[in-house]
Amino acid sequence: MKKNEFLDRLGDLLACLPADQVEESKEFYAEAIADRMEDGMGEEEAVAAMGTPGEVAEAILDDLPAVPRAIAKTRRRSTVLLWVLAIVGSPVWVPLLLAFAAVAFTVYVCIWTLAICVWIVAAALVGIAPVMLVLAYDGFMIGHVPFVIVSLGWALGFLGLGLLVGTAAWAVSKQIARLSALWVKKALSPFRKDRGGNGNSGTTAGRPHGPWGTPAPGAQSNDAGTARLSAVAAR
Amino acid sequence: MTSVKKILLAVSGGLVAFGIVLVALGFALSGFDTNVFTTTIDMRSREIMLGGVAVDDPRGLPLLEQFAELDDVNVSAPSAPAAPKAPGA
Repeated sequence: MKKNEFLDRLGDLLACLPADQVEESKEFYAEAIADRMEDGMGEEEAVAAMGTPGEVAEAILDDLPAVPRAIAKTRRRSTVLLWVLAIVGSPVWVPLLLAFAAVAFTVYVCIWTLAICVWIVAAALVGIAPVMLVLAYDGFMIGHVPFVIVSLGWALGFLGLGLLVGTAAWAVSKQIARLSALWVKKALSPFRKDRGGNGNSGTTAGRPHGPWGTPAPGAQSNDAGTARLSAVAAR
Repeated sequence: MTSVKKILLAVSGGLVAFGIVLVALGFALSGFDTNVFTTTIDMRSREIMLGGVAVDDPRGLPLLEQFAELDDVNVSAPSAPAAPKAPGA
């Protein structure tokens, strides 16, 4: 099979995906084939090393998050079926989606409420200091020296405690910001794939990745979803 | 740990320690009287005590003057208004 034939067939099999995703997949495999041809392989040999277009398309679809994968595989059978299921099933999936969004939002709010509580405690402790300073002044005006010294001590002590708790609140807030970002990623994971820190075709853990996180042909992988591609590429 | 955080921790720790020392000193100077830790504002008897010492005239003392000027706070329910007269038949 020639390169253009392979890419056209792959494009046909991935027609259930959005056009930009299909183009990205085709570009990736075109580049992979070109790299192998540069290494000395013939065109047909390089194409054969990718595996059959069917196997490559299946591996790409299997690597999608759950919801886009289900939509793509249903659309592949029939677009009409997809619309019928979407409409008929809407009394089920719409409330489920709303409940899922509500839970995700509530957890996000609870995570940030923790941070706010710590800041409120820090502000309350710092807020005691000026009140004690005022009382110390009042004690000075009535000539009660021990009360003045004790009130000054309380003021400085609570100010220091407030600063300590404020430092802890800052550290907690940074951790909570990280936690909330992780939570958002997790909540979106059934709908959207995280491509990793290097963008579209970066590497993760030293392993080259293709579009949508699939390993490059020939790369080793332990993921169940991408092992099939590796096995196909190795033949 | 950044230097700013170290300075902040050192300052806050120092403030807490110095505060504890002052509290202990004030307690000792009062003759180990625990009333030195109390502040009482009684709105009913209009009595203000700072560290066990009564304040005769809170005028000119910030915060205490505002408390002294507060009127009684009535927490009972308001009496019901009189019922309107029924219109003539």
